[in-house]
Amino acid sequence: MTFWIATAIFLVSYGLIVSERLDKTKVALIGAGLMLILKIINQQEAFYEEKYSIDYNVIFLLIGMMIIVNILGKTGIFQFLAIKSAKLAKGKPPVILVFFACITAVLSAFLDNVTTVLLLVPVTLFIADELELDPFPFLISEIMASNIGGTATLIGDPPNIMIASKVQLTFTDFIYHITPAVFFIFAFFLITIILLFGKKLHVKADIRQKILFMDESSLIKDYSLLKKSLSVLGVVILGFIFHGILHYEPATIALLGAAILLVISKEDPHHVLKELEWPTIFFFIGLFIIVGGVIKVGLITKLSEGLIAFTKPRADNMFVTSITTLWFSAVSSAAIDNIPFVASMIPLIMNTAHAVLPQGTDIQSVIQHSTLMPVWWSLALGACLGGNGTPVGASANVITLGLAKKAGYPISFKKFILYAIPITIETIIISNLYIWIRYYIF
Amino acid sequence: MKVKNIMDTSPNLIRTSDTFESLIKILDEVKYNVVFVVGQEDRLVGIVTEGDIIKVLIPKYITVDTSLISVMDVNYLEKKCVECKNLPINEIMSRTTFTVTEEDPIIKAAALMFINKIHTLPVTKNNKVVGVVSRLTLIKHITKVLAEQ
Repeated sequence: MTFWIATAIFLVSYGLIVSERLDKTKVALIGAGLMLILKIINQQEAFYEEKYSIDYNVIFLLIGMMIIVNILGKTGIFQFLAIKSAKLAKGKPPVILVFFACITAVLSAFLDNVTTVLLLVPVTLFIADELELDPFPFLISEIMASNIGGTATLIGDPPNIMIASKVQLTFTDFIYHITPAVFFIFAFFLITIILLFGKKLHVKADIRQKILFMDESSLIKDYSLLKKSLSVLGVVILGFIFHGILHYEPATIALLGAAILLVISKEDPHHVLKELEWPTIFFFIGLFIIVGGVIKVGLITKLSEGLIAFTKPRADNMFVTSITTLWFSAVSSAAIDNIPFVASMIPLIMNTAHAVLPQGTDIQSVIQHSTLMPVWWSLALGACLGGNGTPVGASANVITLGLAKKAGYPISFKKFILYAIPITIETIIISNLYIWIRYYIF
Repeated sequence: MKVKNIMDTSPNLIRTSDTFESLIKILDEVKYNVVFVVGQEDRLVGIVTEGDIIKVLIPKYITVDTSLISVMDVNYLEKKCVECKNLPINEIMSRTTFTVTEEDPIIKAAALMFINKIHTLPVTKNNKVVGVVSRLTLIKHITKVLAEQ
């Protein structure tokens, strides 16, 4: 009976999140509340037991990075970079398109995607307005670049943070395995956007001149704060690079960095904390409890039995499982939020590993088994890149389209998917080739 | 006392098919800072205030990121004015508008102005605009009431 109640809570919560008829944070918290009040999972398990509990490493890594980005965003550096790059491009729209995509991708790899697009979209609309161009090519390129860039690192996108935390992967693991794939994907993406939009982006020389006369230095509001924020961010990234060697969890580094920046910046913590994305944090908390409940009742075990029957993974080869995971994750993440999807997929893959792989002396010998690793990388690539497929696939898409609409440039669902689906398929095909060549040929 | 007793019977009217340029000319000549927009058979369809005119000239992305003002062209406003010259009124006006009929009591006009923080109200009869009452009209009426006492 408990099994069916937990499954019902899980499915109804999923359904409501997909339908978007109710705020997703409310759904996750109600679902979590029901799991607890019906004693499917008790509070001790939900809060403290590693197997079922809230992943505090994910929660505090997100909070820490949100604090750092919030303070960095106040300096005007994002707008400065955009204007500076437009000037370096000599006001030529196709070059600006490529530069903006690169800035978005690099910033998204190290910072929260939502903050990145939130700060870059207004300045993009401004440049497009000055150049008397339709902002659509710039906006859609930035959305895609944000999700592709976010895929590159452990801290770039929530699915990576979640996978890294549960599988105990380091920042350098992602740099070694995922970043090369993202380089190829991003290079093909840049070629694609140039082919798609390059010819449409031509303006007269006198209009381009307007860009060259802009004074980007006026956008930096506080040089002292900028120096402090960039120094802390630099040290935090160094900390991430060495966290595996130093035996610190990423959340420890992010939280300490955030605390130091709060002290040295002299920013009022009340203001900074008020501006964090608390609904996202509570969405995670609720989801972890819901997923903890269905793990406890055995639903995830049953689903993993299905995955095993369908993809027939072996202890020495999981090629079919990898490729199935990649495409299934991409399609699912385009249709629904990738956070609940990944939260459910992680225990499912873990269960599969425990069922198929020989039991080792420690957990790492199973969940970090060399046969299983391509499956984790497939999940990360599929879940992050799949978010590009539809307007609701990732938070960056929702935020950018919302801002564009507010600024008088509404982008329809149809127009978005017309460009987004082919680009997403292209990125997944490249991921597929990467996984196949890197892990199954050599 | 009723609205019809104090209203000004010469409201500023403009048609939906008119342009930004004709609107500015009207506003330059009239005593109220609002113009009522009328469609077929002089039926009220909207209102244009000074705020609506400024809204047309300001890029919307500025409301999201005010820091961009510092890199905007110093002649942006002037260029935008010329660009908007032939913009139709229905792209400038606000559609929601409060009205009173000439048979309504004056207190209704006063209450609508106070609650909704507006300065001028169109007076209608069978959906046609027949007059206008403003805060100034109300003050003049109050002065008259006290003088009569």
